[in-house]
Formats: sequence, C-alpha cells, structure tokens
Amino acid sequence: MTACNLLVAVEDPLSLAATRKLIRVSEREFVITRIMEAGGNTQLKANLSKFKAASYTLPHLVLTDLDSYPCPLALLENWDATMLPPQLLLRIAVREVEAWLLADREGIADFLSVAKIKIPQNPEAEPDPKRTLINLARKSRRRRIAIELAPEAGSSARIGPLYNARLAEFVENAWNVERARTVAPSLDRALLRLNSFMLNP
Amino acid sequence: MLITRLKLKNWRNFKKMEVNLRERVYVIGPNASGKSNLLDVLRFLRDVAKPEGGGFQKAVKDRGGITKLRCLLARKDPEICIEIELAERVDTDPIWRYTLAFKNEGKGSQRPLVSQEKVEDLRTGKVLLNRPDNNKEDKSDPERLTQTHLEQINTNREFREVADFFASVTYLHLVPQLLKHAEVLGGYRMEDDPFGQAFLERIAKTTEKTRGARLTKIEKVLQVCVPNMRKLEFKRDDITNKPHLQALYEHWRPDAGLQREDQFSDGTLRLLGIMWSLLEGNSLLLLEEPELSLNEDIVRQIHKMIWQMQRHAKYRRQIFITTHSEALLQDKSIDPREVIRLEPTKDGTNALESSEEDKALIAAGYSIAETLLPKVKPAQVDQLSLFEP
Repeated sequence: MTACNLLVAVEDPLSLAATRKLIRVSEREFVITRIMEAGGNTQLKANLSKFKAASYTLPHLVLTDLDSYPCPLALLENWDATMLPPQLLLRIAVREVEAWLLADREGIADFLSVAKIKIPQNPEAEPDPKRTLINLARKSRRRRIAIELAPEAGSSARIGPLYNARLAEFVENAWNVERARTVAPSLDRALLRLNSFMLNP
Repeated sequence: MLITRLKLKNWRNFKKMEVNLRERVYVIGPNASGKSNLLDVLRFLRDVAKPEGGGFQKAVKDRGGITKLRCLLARKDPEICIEIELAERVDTDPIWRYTLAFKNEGKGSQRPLVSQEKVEDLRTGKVLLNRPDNNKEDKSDPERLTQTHLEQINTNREFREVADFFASVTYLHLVPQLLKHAEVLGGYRMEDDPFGQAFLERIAKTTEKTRGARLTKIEKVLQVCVPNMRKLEFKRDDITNKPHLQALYEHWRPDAGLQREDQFSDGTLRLLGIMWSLLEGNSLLLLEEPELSLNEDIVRQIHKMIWQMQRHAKYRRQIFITTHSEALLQDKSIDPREVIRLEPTKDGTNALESSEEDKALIAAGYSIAETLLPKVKPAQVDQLSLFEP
C-alpha cells in the first residue's frame, strides 16, 4: 500500500503531537505533509469551508476539542459539518485532548509523579480536563513538573510556560494509546476512523 | 524592465538554482537559509556595473574574495555562474539574457577571472558578446579577463540598457536609529547607503515639484497606518540648512503638534523609506524584512501599499522582499507565483516556486502564510523551549 499524504489541522501544538502519535500507531501509512495550527476551535470552525474545498487537493485530518458543546453531534451541527467530503476526516476529543492523555492513567501518573489513584477513572466525564491535569501537576512529587506545567500562583495565565512542550514530549515518548483508548471512547473512535480513512477512494 | 528569470551556480549557499520571477518577489525561508545571499547576487551585479567605484574586481573583493562567494559544496566545478533574463514587462517574452561566470586564476595572486561573459539579445537571437571563447583579444591578453564588459562604457554600448538596469538596482534596509541619530553617530556612511542614513539627502536632491508630488502620494497611503498624521513636508532647517521631514500630528488639543523625522516612530520612518524608494527609481528594489518595528495590523497592509505605490510610480519598479512575517503573507491578494521559498538541504539551499498543490490549496482559500510558511519553519522549533542549559 502506498503512503497517503495528509494535511493536519489542529488547535495547538499538543493536539498536533497527539495527532502525530495517532498516525504513528495507526495501521496505515499516512505522511503529514502540511500542518495548520489554527490557534483554537473557533478558528478551526471558521476554516471549515476552506478545509472542505481543499480536501479535494489534499486529504485533511482535523482534530478539535469538544470544549463546551454538550455532545459531538451538537458541535457537528453547529459547525455545519454533518455532511463532509470523504477526504476530510474531522475528529473530536471529548472534551479536550488532555482527556486522552489522562486516559493513559499509568503513563500520565508516572510522567506527572503523582499516585495513579489520583487520576480520574473516566477522563471524558471531566468538565475541564486541562485544569484537572494542571491541578495534578501542582501536586507532583517533582517540583519541576509543577513549575513547568502550572501557571505561577496568582497568575491568571491558563497554562505554565512549558506546558505544551513537556506534554508533547510525553505524548511522543511515553503516552500509551492502546491503554488510553480503553477508557476514552472518543479516542477509540478516532483511531478506528483513522484506520479506514481514505481506504476506498 | 524586470528580471524574469534567475539562474545560479555555486553562489554562496546555492549550489544550483533556477527560478522565474515577477514584479513582486517575496523571498521566504528559515533563518540562515540564504535570503540575503539571494538578494546579494543582484547587489553584486550592481557593484560590477555601477559607473562610480564599481567593477568586477572590487565587487568580488568587497565580498571577501571568491572563496567567500563560492558555495562550500562546489567540488569538481569551482566556477560561480549567474544567469539573468530581463523582460520589458511581466508576462512578456524576455529580451535580454546576461551570463557571468568566474573563478580564481588558479595561480599567482589568485585574482578572480571571468570564465564566461555572454550577452544575448533574445529579440533577434543575436549573441552580442561571448567571451573569452569567441574573442581573439581575450586570448592574446589574459589581463582582460580581470574585467567584465558590463562595467565598461566602451564595450557595453550595444547592451547599455542591461548595464544601466544593473547599475541602478537599489538595496534598502533602512535602520531608523541611524537616520534619527545621524548627527551623533557622525558622518560615516557605507557606499550606496544600504541603511538609509542619507535618506533625507536623497529627498533633498529631487526637484521641488517631484518631491512634493511624491510626498503627497506617500501621505495618502500612510494615512492608513498613521491616521493622525497630516501635511507631510520637506523642510530645511532655518539655521543649519539640514534637510528634514516634518508632519503635523493631530491630537486632542486644538493645535496639532509639528514633529520632525527624529520624532517619527521607527515603523513610520521605515515605511516612508520603502515608499519613497518605490517612487524613486526605475530599476529593481531590494527590501529586507519590511515588517520590522511595525504593528501587525500595519504589516497586513504592506502588500497593498507596495501594490499601490507600484501603480502610482512613474516607472514601475520590480521589488524583491525578504520576509518572515505571517501577517504580511496572510494577504489573500498575494499571487503564489510571487513567492520564492528557500529550503536548506545538505546539498545547498533550493529555491522553490509554489507547487501545483500550493496553488490549488490557495485557490481553495488558504493564504500564502498558511500554505508556505509552515514549510519554512525549522522542524525543532517546537522543542526550542525544552533546551537544558
């Protein structure tokens, strides 16, 4: 089977790292030839008509966070994305890609140096997985993790200075997708769909 | 006239490259990919062709000699070669082809010697010059190969147009601080004033009528960026007679304040320099990173400003622009054919025109910034923050 070139559109560096990893562990040979980091899910939404048109030139894989939408279908309806061209695969992380990371409970506990028991059992039910993850980092046994991932006390910044870089490193080297997909159904579906994406042209 | 095609061999970090060019050329690429080296080819030809203090030997010497100019990857073939095609207008057939190749003498004082200089008039297909092969005098007197025919008015008569075009290439990388603090920094200036220190004198030298007309055009376009600026004028100081620019800045007080160029913002001064240069000459203009010290919203306007200035100018100058700016390249009216992307490889830097896929994505709604800039981003930049000191 020949490799299939892809354009990957994501919100931020962490989603990009997760997407790269999914492609690596998938059963298929996809090559990311272009990347678009939109900056947030409103920007992804604004670009959707462009993705639809451009996917005829180059297949698109779009990964977005569900964020505050009540369910994936609500997002699709709001984005006018219920009917997409077959070369455009849109996947949604419930509620944020951080939930997928938390879903590898052993891996993330080890990375953050916290007890596994503190990691939520059902990460997709977390209302704000990013905050959950940062709060866990604050309780880390290793001070460095806390200062790199969490914003300083009193700061209203949402993340610490090395948040994306460190977590991207975790995703690349340690994140166990097979373990994670057993507790994160949206991740499991994303992998299944990726494995059959662009199979029957 | 404009350059429609540029071909290089062994020039600095370009082992081999060939690109088609248009009225505007945006040169993009990661740091140290050779953007300035690409512009330097044209400055080099300018230095060879310019009537005052120019010439081939000096142009090579000023750049540290052939060993500094030649691509480090050049092994078997030590020759540097520049080939340029010129057309009257964009999208028309080229009318001139000029080729200059040179290498070290290989003995003695290792002077740079011309190994080929060729001029073709493409309208008639006539080769006006081809040396040293078809030239008896060159063979009998090798000294002659230390000079090009381009630099000599006796020998460039038939292709004077080409020599004049190269001689009037302008390079501008205006450094506002040098202009603002000119008096404190003293009078030292580099040849051809690449950093805009003598910008005010250049304005002073134009006739009053032309100067007024240009400043009016510039003021109109500048309004977009500096909306509270009015009455941009040229004025000599009553006491020192030094040339100055001044403008009225409207503010909340009824009488607007009069400001001189040393009070203009860095960005305003750079824009002024760029726009003046676009209106001034008739040959190629080389610009380095026009986005510096400008607010992003204004950077977004740069392409439109350049376009407007090119339209309003008496002679439409071709312009090469190096840039890193995402905001500049977000302009959806930039034609992907106007962008040259430099891609460093182990075998030297490649210069690439937009591919068919690039063009198709742009047609589907992507901007140049989205399509081409991620490709010039160094692979490890995301990991930059993780360095361990």
